[in-house]
Amino acid sequence: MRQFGTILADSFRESVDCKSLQVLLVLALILIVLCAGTSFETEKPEGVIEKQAALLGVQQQRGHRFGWAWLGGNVECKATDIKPVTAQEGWGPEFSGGFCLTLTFKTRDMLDLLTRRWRAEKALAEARARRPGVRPPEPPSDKDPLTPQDYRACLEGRFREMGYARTQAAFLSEDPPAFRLAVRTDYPHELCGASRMKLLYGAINFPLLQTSVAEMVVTMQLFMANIFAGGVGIFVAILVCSGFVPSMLQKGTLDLVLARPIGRGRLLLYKYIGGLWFVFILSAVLIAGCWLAITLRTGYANPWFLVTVVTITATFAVIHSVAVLVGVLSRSGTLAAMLAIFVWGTSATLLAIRNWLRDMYAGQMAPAWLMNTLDALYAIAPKTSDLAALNVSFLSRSHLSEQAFQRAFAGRLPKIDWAWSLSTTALFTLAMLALAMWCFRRKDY
Amino acid sequence: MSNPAIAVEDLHKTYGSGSRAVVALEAVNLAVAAGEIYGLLGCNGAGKTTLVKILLDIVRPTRGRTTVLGVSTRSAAARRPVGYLPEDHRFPDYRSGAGLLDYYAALSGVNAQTRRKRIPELLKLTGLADAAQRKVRTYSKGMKQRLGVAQALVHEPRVLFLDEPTDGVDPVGRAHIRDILRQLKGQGMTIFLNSHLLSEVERLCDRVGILEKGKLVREGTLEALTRGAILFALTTVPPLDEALRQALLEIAVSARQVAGGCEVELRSDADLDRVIDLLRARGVSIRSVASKRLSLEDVFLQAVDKGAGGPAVHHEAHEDHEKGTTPPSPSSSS
Repeated sequence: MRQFGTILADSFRESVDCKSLQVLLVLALILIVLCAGTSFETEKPEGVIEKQAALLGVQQQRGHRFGWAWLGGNVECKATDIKPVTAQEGWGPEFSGGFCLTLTFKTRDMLDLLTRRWRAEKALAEARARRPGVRPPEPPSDKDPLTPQDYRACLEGRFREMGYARTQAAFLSEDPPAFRLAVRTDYPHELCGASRMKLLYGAINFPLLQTSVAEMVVTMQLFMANIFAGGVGIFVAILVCSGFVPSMLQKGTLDLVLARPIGRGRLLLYKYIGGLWFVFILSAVLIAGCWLAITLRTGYANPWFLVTVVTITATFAVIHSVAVLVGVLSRSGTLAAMLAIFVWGTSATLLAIRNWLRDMYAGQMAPAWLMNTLDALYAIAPKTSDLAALNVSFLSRSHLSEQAFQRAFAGRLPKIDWAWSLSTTALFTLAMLALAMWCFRRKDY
Repeated sequence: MSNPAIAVEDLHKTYGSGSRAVVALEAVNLAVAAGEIYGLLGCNGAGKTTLVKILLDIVRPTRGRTTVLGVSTRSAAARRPVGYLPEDHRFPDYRSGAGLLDYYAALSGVNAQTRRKRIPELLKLTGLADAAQRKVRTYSKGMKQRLGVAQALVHEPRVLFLDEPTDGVDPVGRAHIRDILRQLKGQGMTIFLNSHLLSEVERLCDRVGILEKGKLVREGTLEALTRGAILFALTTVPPLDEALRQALLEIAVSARQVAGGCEVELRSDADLDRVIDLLRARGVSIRSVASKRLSLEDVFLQAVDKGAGGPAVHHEAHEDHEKGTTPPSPSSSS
């Protein structure tokens, strides 16, 4: 145990000596300060509903991982007579505490356009939800007649997509088309367009249009966990930690260590854990700091955010095992870093291509041999991007209602067999480490 | 030798395989008693460092058995009572002298309390107390070498392996290291000294082994090695050639060419007459004959000569112990 602590401390000291730890800590501090400078300002419900009505023609696309869908870019409609739901209007008790409004479209064509596009998008999303990767059926024809039920379904659906748990529409007039709607949300922080975001302590201030505060908080947390710590941070950590083993293996240095009463396998394992310790400390500082800043400034405390420290360290553990193996074989920190980054990038690209082909058309577009090859490579390759997806999954699920999760994040997640993915990734890591130890133990120095 | 501190039995080491195989050690057997300073001599590439590294399990033997204090060196436990100063060592230079000793002591399993007591003592012993908190990267070569000795001693080992401990150290530093080693011997430590500096070995070691091309060709106490044969230096005209040297080897234990003549090692004084007769019979004029006591260098060179089967190798200066009426021959004083 004493030897373990000594080697961990030495790895840390080595990283302090090359100033990498300090640089990363400063970067982490900058991000924490940026998080602390972020806050949200909730707008009045009437104003929110007006804004939402104006944005009815734009929605975040579901069943797909990227971008926005323009349901009808030139749809013009206006919300008027917005007021809290009262018993006099005849809305059910489930709308108690909600709002009602009158929604008037400029022309009938605009309403038709919105309804047809929304219906097509919905059919596409449902088809993909039923059988992922299957080419969706053709959307209903533009010539199909629309019924009042179709209009109401469209408007109720659009408002649900904006974060209202309960919506109900009633037809008011045909020309111009007008509807009376009642809406109510169970989670006000999940309402799209309900807040303004302030960055740099209010120096930058902008409205959140198609997203809610809760989604934005999760997005910020994912940025910290997957992009900064899980991307940039791991990249820098690989550059730093890939040198740990080769520097120990330098002629003249290794003899001094191997002459101690410590087995080679344990020595290499401790050095490996030294790298993990470096990343764990850094990511813990960043994530805990950001969590505290976000919690104090916005009031949204999601303890699951702290768990990303484990997934970030696990991601690094996978890549670092490659660096350790290459370090033992080549005694070159540069080569170890380059190959580790290559394996990381290649496996992430491979996974992205495979998932894309599968998700899009169930691999039907690609030849069978290609899909089989990709499947075989997927089985062997470390699935670090699945660990990033794991962050998306538990951060969004823990912080959002099912409705908000489906709306904002479900489409971003590929279908993953977690047990298979995590176990094969762990096996890959163990295989790299076992191979590194085997080589280290039998080699003459 | 019963219960030797270091034992090597039938040790073989071959690097590589097939046509690229290089034999580093061949059938080496040796034993070092507890409390003894054993010096291993050999030319560069003779296999000295390989032998020490096998004793520390840094290099794995091809065949044979090695033990330290009765424990197989393949076990990590065998290294617990062992200190080692490698040749061309390289310390992590981001540590201070004291920090480095603390690191190696902790790696050797020494507890914090003992480390706090032991490290200042060692720094004082090696004359590094004033530089204890300085980064190792600011140390001179001599200071690093003394720090190397300190790190080898930091866990109070019972056996010490030193590979060229005075390499690159100035005369004052060498004397300091020699003093430390004498103190350690006084405390009963077993020391295995690898060196090609004959004077160092001669001054410190109780027993000496000579390794040549992977084989242990001579071994014994200094006295036994230098007493075992009778050496005569002959000044001849013309100087000894190879054919004559081979002829002399039928009478002498060894014969080697030196400037202006030859040196012959004989089994008895009576053989000198036979050598003179042989030389005279071959028309060689003998100008002087001088009796010499063998120095360690002579023993080493003879051993190496036999291994090489050729004329004398070049070597470092040493103190001569010539006894004779004629001036020392250039080879024995150079």
